Amino acid sequence: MTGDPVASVVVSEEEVRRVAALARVAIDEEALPALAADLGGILAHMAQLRAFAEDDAPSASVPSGMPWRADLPRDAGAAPASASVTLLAIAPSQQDGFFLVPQVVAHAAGHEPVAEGA
Amino acid sequence: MSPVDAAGPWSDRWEIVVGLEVHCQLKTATKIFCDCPTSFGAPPNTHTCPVCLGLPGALPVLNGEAVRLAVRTALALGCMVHRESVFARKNYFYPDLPKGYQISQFDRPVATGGAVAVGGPGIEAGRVIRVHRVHMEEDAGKSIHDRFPQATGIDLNRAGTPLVEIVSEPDIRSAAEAGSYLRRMKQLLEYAAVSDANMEEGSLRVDVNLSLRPHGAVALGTKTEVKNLNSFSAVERAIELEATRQAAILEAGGAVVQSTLLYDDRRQTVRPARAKEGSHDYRYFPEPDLPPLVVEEALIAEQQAALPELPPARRLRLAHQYGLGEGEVEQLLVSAVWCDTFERLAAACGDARRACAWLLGPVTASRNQGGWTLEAHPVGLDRLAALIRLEADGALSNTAARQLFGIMERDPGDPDQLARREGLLQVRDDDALAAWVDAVLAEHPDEAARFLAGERKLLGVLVGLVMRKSGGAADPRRVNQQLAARAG
Amino acid sequence: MGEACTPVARRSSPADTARTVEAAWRRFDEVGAGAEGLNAFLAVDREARAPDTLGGALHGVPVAVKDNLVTLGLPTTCGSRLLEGYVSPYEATAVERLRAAGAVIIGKTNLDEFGMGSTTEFSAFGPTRNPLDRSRVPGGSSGGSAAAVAAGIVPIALGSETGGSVRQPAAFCGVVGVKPTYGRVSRYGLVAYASSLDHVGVFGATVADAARALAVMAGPDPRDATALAAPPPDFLAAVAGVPALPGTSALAGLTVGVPREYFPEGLDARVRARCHGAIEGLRALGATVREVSLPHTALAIPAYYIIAPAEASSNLARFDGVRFGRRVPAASLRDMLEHTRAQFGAEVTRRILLGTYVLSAGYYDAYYRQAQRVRAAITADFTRVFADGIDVLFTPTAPTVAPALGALTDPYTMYLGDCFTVPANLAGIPALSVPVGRVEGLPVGGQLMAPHGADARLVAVAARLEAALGREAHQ
Ligand SMILES: [Mg+2]
Ligand SMILES: [Zn+2]
Repeated sequence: MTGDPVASVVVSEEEVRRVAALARVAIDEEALPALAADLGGILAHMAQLRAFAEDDAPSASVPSGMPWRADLPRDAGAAPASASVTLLAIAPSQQDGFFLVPQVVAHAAGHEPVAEGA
Repeated sequence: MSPVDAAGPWSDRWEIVVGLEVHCQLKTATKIFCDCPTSFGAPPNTHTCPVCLGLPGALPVLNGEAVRLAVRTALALGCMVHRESVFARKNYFYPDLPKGYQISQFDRPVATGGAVAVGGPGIEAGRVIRVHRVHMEEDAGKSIHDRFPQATGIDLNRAGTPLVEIVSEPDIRSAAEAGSYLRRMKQLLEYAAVSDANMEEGSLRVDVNLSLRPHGAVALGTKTEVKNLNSFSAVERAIELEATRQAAILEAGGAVVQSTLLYDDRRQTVRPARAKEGSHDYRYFPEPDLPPLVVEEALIAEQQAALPELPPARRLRLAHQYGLGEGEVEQLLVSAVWCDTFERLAAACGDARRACAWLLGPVTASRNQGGWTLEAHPVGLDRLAALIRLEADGALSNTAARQLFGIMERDPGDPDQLARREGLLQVRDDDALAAWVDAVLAEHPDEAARFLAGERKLLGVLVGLVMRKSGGAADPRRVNQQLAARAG
Repeated sequence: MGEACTPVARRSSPADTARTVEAAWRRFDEVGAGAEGLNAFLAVDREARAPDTLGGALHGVPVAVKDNLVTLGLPTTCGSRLLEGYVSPYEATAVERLRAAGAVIIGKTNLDEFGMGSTTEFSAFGPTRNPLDRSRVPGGSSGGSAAAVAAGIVPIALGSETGGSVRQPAAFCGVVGVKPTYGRVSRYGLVAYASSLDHVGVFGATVADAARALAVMAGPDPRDATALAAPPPDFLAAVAGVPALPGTSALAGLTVGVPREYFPEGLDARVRARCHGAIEGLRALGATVREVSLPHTALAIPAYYIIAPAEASSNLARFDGVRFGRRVPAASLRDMLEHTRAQFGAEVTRRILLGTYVLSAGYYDAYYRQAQRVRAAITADFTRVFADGIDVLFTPTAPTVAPALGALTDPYTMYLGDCFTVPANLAGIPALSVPVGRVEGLPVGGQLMAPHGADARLVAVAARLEAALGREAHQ
């Protein structure tokens, strides 16, 4: 494992910060160096994947496709009212039937006020 | 703001390049990956379950009806439907996106290629906007920002509603073309019966991608994306605003910054949605909870068969087959049912032009809001056809026919009998007409003499006098014929 | 090491296993399975009783469930602070089917947080100890379930596998652990780690015990689109008639492949010896044994540790403190999210960051796409040998016996411990671990792998091998 020529994959602290921001995980500044070293170390081992030549790759078998649900009539699909109460009850914060989160500030830097996928 | 200067309007120098992403809600009864109902307007979070709430351990299962409707949508747009397509996860955090990813399609959408012909005032004839792709995806929930102090409320009733996203090529060159593209597409979706296509209920939502380039240039300029557009007029207005904004930047020698903007209908502006662009990285990868979607040839055939004649073909046929004008055709095309009603009425009464005039005139004026059929109309198709035949035969004057139509709305009787009962039929009996003609000639000897001596221009005056004498009951064509005959 | 000798801490053979709810609790208390002792359980239900209706295939059988399968009435924490106290409003299909068969769910077992680990040391609620030597790990991530069966508390426990999390702890604890074909048991209600690799698996005191549970749980589920549509094989028939009459060649006509890549030079000599003993056992039952090659085996670990974290980074995005779970309050949404998610333990955080990294713009092709290619090549390796006349493969389950608590510090060294189990997850083929002997009192597991869908064959061969090895396997 050691002495691998591609063990030079280096993950910078800045990259850890970027990835942690994407993943929405708060990381202590002091933890960054160790995490960067961990990720770099792991990824160095992953580099052996690159030795796998493309023409070795067999074509993935064509899957048979997935099962489909029937589209139930509207009445049949409705969850009983009690079910939604139960589902809401497990929320950390809820009021008047809504899940509550800290106010989404429409134009604050870093926030995304628009649901993007839609 | 105005970039107009001595060199003329900016549009002389810059070409608008627009691509649209249309999100259309498919009209299934249940959500795309769970059995919750899709209906609109329920109390918050009552149409939710472990799957659409993204609870730990829950898994999506695809709604077959959503597939059928997506395929039909693609076929209506002239797309190629792929035998195999793949769902992918689009990863981003937002509190109304329950799983932290949207199940969508990425590099292998359900359909590609396609086109929508556009037309109308200010649009060059024969313009076609190409459709790049159609893919299936789930909708997010709703964030309510103005109801709670310091908090945003999340309603997930809409989360998991099936959508197709229809992405155009950047072929649109003006706000008018965008408007026509959207209206024609809405019409197609309605004909295909895949969506309620109701912008108010959010079943149709549009994002605009816009850039400018010098006329004649091939390379595209830097684009911006305007989101949150909830009406066709908002799309048109946003294109005008954003094109003007970009032109001002470019004319001043500046560079457009790639960004996402929001359209503010109240202030009539577009403004940046978020400070930092490029910060999102959706990390798409194939959805491992769903095997690839396989659409068999038989399903494509079934959905092709389910499609009615679509507006582009019907537009041409109506004009040719019935000799209708462009404006009349467009009014009939508004809905497939309306168009069908017209064709059935035309066949039943044997006079397409009158059928069209009646539908677009009295029937439109009197029909209930939203009713695109004569089924629920008190006059009914068969009786209207009979009425039109009476008018066409000359048994009823147009005025009498309109009167009769009003009576028929209240009285379910046979049109012919009603006309008789109300004395609306025109008198076509030659003896009766001759008696009125004799009386008029006798009462107006001077005019009669001049007319009989060859003064033909008096014909109109005399016909009018005979009509008055008959109390409006005489058939004016026959009166005309009798008088002409007497003049030799 | 003193604790290791506690005489009641381990059963001496599967025959010592509790088979009623009352016996289970007696055993639980005897061995000290609670937090102060083995720490095998995160929640227990001492009120649970068999249903009144008789006739269920598992009527009255005490069963333990790994705490990443959601259950009604008992909390489901996944070994995470983020889910402390979380009670699911619905139940996993596998658990539902066990209950319907009359099984009594006595509690939820400890695990590495969200199944991410190989030792059960990465639980937010403390490590589970190996009942056979309490200074050692039980393996992981389903360590609590393995320990519960090994301690004789239950004859059946549910586990889950993404890269060997049932087979490896089964090997370390001297019990049977089965990972059926991908999709054979519904994943509905299994809290996802890496969806394309996740399986519900089962521990049994014997192969027959595991088979009884599989017979109840296996089969199509309309709530899991990746569940196999084909009806499951007859697991009970597969273990019927075992042990075979003395002198009969129970495995005559069977060809067992022994892949050379699974017996590398560095393999613990004692593990190698026990495995060769089992191979001799198979031969003695009439099987033909042939050496084969699975050339891409060495690439399994790097491919796995790209694909699994990538899927995990997405699967764990739903833990955002909005709809369920323990929220860390904050004034802004961003802070609420980031601090809520900072409750993940170190290993989970590492894998989320790794997965986010390999999926992010510019790295996808080099890592994720390449890993999928390797995955296809590994699957093709198996397809080829099975098409080439091999009926089942035999290998060691793990390269070592159970290590001491705290011995594995470097993440990648820990990952390498999964090298023999991960390939079956990548290929989705059925595999199991069965005890093949002991080294200084510590169990060694032998692994059997079969072609996709051949779960019954796998179980049938294992049952006959188990019978042939007899008490030897537990000494
Ligand atoms: Mg989209
Ligand atoms: Zn739902």
